[in-house]
Amino acid sequence: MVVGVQFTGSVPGSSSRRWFTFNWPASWDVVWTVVSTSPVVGAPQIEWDVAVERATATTITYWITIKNLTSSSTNIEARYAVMNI
Amino acid sequence: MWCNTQVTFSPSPNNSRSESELEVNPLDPLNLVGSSKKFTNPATYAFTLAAYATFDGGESWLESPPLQLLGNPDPNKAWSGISDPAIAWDNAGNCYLVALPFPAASSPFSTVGIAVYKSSDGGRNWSIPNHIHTSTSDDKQWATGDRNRGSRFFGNVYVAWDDGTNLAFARTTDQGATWRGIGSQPAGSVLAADSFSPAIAVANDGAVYIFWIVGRSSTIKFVKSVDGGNSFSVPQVAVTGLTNLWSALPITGGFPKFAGTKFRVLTLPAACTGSGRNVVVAWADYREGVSRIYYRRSSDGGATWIGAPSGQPLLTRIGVPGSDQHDFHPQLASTPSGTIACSYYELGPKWAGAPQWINTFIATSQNNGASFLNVEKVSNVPWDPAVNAPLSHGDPNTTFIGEYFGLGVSNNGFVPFWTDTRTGIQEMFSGRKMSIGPWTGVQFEGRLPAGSTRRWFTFNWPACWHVVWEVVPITPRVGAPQIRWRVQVERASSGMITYWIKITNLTGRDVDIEARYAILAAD
Repeated sequence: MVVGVQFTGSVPGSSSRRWFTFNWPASWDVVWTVVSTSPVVGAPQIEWDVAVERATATTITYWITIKNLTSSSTNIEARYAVMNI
Repeated sequence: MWCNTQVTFSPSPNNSRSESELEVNPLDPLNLVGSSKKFTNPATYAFTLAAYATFDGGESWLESPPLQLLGNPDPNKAWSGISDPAIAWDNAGNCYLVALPFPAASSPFSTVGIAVYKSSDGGRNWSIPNHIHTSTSDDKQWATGDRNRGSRFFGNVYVAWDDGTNLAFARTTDQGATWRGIGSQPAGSVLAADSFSPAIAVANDGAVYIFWIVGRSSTIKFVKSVDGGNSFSVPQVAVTGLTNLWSALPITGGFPKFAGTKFRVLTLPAACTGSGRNVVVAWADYREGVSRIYYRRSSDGGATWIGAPSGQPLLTRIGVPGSDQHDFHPQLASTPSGTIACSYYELGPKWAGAPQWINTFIATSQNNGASFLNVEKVSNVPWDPAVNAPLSHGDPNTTFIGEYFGLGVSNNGFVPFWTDTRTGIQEMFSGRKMSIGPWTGVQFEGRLPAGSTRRWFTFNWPACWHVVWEVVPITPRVGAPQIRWRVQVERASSGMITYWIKITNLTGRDVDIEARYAILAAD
């Protein structure tokens, strides 16, 4: 297994932003998670969805939509884990 | 994979931070103290030092109250800030932050001496400064404690700095109560006359090595003490023929800079000891037409030096950077068991046509520096040195990202401590090596009434851990899906995450569920 951080960014308050990341080998089993990196205690700050595009026979583009559940801008970090290498 | 922990959360982009140091408490490997410049006005180069501490090995950090500055009857010598952080510990859990006080910009003086702050509570609070030397030519101090329980001088703290071109020296053998030079001289004994930016290393046997680069030249020299800093050898040459960035790069605004960048960069020596009588000194070198880390080592306590007089490249087979990358700002440290690490910045485009960004790397040696065959990228994402960079002395063509960065070490491992602009502000980040899992388990069970949505939370998950959640029903019912779930994340503190698991029952009957976690990587 290989884990890493694919990107960092910021999501304005009460909004969603979508990132894409491409050229992932289609044979890889990839799990995506997103965490907030802006400490604010008391309530959840973000959630995310993953959408998948089979860009070619051998590559995948992942589209990560991150929703900020708060009214303040939140910094995020999108993490991947390739489970089968 | 390295965990990257954001150490500082600046309330303002004016609080750019860089030029850092980090040292581990020899009595408590979970207690680390760091320091960096903290700006108040990046446009005018107005800053002082801030200090940071962790008591959990770097998962969470605190910033100490502001370090006190001293007044002076002479307004030209009243402190307006302190600079050039250096940190050392004694053998009683006291930490020393050695700083360079400087007066207001209107003063004819650049600096006003060497000051020592002491913390006896692990870096939470700091004493008023002890102004141990008062030359207006002081600059570029370094400090190291004797961390070796087997040493006769365990607990001594040594400080070296430039007083003009003189190599000046001070030590404390009584936990900071007094500071003196060699013998019974006052602090500031002159050990050499051609010093620039000294670095100190202390060996397991208590031998003290002080290295410096001779001005802007191609030579690194050192002196050695085997009596706890009571006396030193005459200066000796460790390296000749290196290619100093000063001589190889264009000088604009008074400083060397890499092509296409504005930040100032220097060739400064870094030093550490390995096991036995092994000693290593490293620097940024431009002989290859790009900046590379070079080093030279001795296995006999500096009596002789191995290999070419001009040193050897740090990276030869593993981690050799591309020709469009510059490696610089080396920092050396070694574990008590003798593993030597060199951390450094690597500048260059990270993909074709990209701007020049920086990653932090660490290379380690298991053979006392004979080779560095394990090279790892510490920073999870590269950072742009142009972002939020203060103007060096207000010069719009010269920016500042620090002239060095920290590397702490204990038997728990190495902890790089670097500047990073991934948030849009120059903040301090620390790194800890992670292990790959998975480690799995059930975090909780519960019951969902028919057609309802419930939310559970689970807290105090280390923020660096890569955690995947899934929920399954444990009430059998064939024919249709029973539940779905969504994970929401709360960054409860700099080091901890609370996960909120929102679960919906899709059926008309109660469903019992089980929430499972898989920790894919942990530090």
